[in-house]
Amino acid sequence: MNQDAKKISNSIYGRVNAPAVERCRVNFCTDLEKSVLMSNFERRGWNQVGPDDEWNFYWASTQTCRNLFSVESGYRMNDNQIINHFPNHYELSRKDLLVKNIKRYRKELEREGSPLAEKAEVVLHGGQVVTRYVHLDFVPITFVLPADYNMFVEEYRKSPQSTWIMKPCGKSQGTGIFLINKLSKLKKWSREAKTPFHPQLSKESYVISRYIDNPLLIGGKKFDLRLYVLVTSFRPLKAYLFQLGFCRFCTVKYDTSVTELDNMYVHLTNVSVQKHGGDYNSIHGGKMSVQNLRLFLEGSRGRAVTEKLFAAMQWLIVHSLKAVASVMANDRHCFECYGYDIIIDNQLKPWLVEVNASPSLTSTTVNDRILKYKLIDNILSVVLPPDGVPDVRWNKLPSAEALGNFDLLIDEELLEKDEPTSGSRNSKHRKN
Amino acid sequence: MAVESLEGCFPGTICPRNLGFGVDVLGARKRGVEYNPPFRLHPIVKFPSVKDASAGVRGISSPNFAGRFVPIILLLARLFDVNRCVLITPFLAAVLFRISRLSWDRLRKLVSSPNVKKEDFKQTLQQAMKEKGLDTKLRNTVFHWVRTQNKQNKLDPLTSLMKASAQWEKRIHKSLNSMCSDLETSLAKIRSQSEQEELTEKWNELSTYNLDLSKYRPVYAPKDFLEVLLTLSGYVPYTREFARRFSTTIGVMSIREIMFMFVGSTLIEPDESELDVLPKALLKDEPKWEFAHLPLQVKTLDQLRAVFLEWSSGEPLLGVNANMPSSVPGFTTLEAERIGLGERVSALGYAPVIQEYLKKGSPQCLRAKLWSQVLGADITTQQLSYFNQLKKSVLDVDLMIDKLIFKDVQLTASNDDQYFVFEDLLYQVMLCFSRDYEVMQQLKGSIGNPLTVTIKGKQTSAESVTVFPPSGIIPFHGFTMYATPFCYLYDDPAQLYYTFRAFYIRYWHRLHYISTHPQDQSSVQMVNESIQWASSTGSTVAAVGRYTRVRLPGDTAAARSFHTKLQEGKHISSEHPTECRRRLSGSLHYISYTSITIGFNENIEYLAQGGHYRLNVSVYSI
Repeated sequence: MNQDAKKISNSIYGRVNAPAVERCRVNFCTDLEKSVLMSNFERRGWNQVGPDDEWNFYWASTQTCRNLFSVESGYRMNDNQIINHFPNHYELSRKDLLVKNIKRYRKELEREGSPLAEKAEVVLHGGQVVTRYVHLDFVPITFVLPADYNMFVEEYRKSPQSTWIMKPCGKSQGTGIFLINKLSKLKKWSREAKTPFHPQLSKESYVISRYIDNPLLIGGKKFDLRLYVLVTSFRPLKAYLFQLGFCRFCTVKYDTSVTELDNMYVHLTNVSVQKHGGDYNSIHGGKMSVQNLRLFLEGSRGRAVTEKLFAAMQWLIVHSLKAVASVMANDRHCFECYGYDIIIDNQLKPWLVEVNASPSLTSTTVNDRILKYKLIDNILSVVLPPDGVPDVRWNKLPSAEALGNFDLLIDEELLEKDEPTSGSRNSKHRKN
Repeated sequence: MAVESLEGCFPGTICPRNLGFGVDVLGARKRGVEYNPPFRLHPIVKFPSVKDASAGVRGISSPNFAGRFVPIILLLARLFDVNRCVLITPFLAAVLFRISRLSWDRLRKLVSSPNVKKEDFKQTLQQAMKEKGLDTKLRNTVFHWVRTQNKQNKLDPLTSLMKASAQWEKRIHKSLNSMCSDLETSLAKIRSQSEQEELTEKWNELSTYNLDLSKYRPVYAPKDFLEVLLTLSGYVPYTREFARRFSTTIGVMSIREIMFMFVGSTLIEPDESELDVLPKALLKDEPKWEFAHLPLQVKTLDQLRAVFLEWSSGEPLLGVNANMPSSVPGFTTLEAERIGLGERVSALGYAPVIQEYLKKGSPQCLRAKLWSQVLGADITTQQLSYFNQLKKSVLDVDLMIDKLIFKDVQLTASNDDQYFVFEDLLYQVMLCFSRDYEVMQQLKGSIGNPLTVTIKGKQTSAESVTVFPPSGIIPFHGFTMYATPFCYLYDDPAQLYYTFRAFYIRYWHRLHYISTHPQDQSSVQMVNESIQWASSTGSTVAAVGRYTRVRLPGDTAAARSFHTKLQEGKHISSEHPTECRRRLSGSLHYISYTSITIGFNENIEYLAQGGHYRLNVSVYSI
């Protein structure tokens, strides 16, 4: 990274070499003037243009992207244009659709008789015996309300002691989320939602999920993981996992008692929520790196379980992507960086909570800034061909150096290629 | 088993080192080999009978002890082949003191079990002990005891340093007292009922315990101590004798150069903004590094190579590159190999073997276990109850130090992105540490003379006077950082506490006390300590620790170059400091992350294996 910077400064003050000239030709457009973005574009010597100009690289909001791809806009992208979203990213990022897609994916696999869809009986910690997918049980049981209300009630009756979490499908950052431990509370909510005083509520659909009430605690506090996953293609699936994720901690000790059920500082890890708590610390922002989490788990729990946990998280990400791969509009101009929110329970099993198509690029702390700067830098170097100019005809096989802090999660194209030749290239590719 | 009458005594036959390591002492003696005990044995007491034995034991310790342990002394005497006499040495006494009640009961049962035969008492008992795991326990007990004895517990012979150290201590005490009078509080007082209740209730989340600390300042910061160390130069009498012992021989790295290296190391990646605190401060003060005229000898590179045999011979060390291919068949990577071996070593549980294993680095997943094993910091029920006792004394008495501890945790861990999660754990550990009189007992002589104060609100009696603080250690700004790395190893406060304490007693107290610790080899302690201190206490700990731990997995090139340097035997100091700094800057990444305070590096394992290695390592613990 530093060397790159040096190269650029060299090219400014010394001999101007050929690639730098080409780099200057990249015109970028952005809806988001975040400093981590802008400084990265500037460092690459890119030129900013407006959305109506000839751009090569667009860091767009999801709305802009959908508009661009809509039939009405009639916009046709050329081969030197790429954009940072897939038009129907919501298949993954909307809570209700994600669950729907995963459910469908499991059924499909089951129909095919795939061993991945194996089911087995498990005993919940309440003593209840249920049938679960062995390998694909990575989202908490979820229903869409009001549509699946009856199904929910049926499930709820099986374990009336359970706690459930209600989330509005289309909102983010912890808004509109609340916990429920009694059916009556839900009924009361739905009555209120229907009243004319809350017209906005009645329109909206909610998902209700089984609450992970046994999260792994560190220092007595609950946390979730934010991992970044870059997808450059869905068919064939090409995905990369950013090594530098982080844990977001609640500021208040975890407490399952009913009185604390409404205390969102106990239950929600979103920075946007925790920020308003009195105990929020702006120096570390309640964030700890994933590497440190690993260090802690390895030190205190042992290596085998830690490895298993991290492997399970990769598994979860890959299969959540596979679940939507068939429905995604796999436009070759698109790439997307997803923010995966994962909760680990005290049995060290990871649960996918949600996927964000526009993970926050706001830096709350110094480390946060460094991390997000690196993230953007690495995204750019993965999605751009070696010469640095966007080109959709490129084979999308970044070199090991270009990956930076990204690890290859899956590349179906490479897998296929490798099948006859025993995967030597893939493993080489994976190494970095 | 009655003990036969004494016919004589065998001075020097009970050599803990040999006992601990299973050398046949008696056999060797028969062959005429002379054993030199590693420490001076006290005059051996001889007892003609059980009755006399108990009387003798009474002489050296409390009556309770005698009553409980006489039979086992006799038993051990038999076991160690002194079946014709009973030797009560401090060693044996210490062993016995350390064998918990539980294992003592087990041992007693074992003796009366049918497996142990009177005719072949020694062999059968040893066999039976091995089967029950008591054998390992006994050996480890001996090992840990020997290690505590080997320590230099005397204050410095250089009177000038002694004076300096006493002055420093006085200054700290004075500033404590004046802070107390400024704040109109007392050093020690009984906590009120309501305060006790609140503290008890919040014990597990002390971060929510509200205290107004705005007026409290750390008693001193590492910088203050550094200033004291810097002025020390004037104190050193430059006599011929002194020069011979301390002065520059070939290849001495001057402090100046070392500091240069240190500065260099931390400046390599300026974009790591978190490092700001430290190097700038050092750079600014660079001309003040006049330490060099203190002619203390630092190990030459050749000497270092002799000490770090594994390093200089190029054996693979974990921490340099965990993924390098293993030379042992059946393992793909070095890390896998070390884990495989480590698991076996840990299961075996012999402290000396673990010590040997640690020289080449432990994988993170085994550290917690191995460190507590090698330091004898395993948790027993006794220790748990002692820990609870410490907690109780925190709840009972309010020491002024408590506020300083709270303040320190807040200033360091609470705002640190690596440690904030463990804030509550650290409050518990640090508070309990201040109440631990065992710390003072074990460090007696090497930490000066703590204050004695009267606890306000307690009836005047012998109990109303306390050593302040009971541990004898007055925390400075950044003190908590000594404990923070352990948070990544132990979930349980008690386990964390005992390992931290063992580390402190073995190593870390040296970092903030002035001494030269002359040992057999000429001493480099003071230099080392000042450097260690400079690199590792206070805010520097935070900076170095934070910095390096993040870098730990990837920093292979630097480590390798340090490695090669040791192998090649190149002279570091013959170069111009700037040149030296430039060339070494790479390797110093490694050196800085081997700083002992980081706790996750491999070098600490070198440290953990004790003895004089500590001295040498410290040169590199920059």
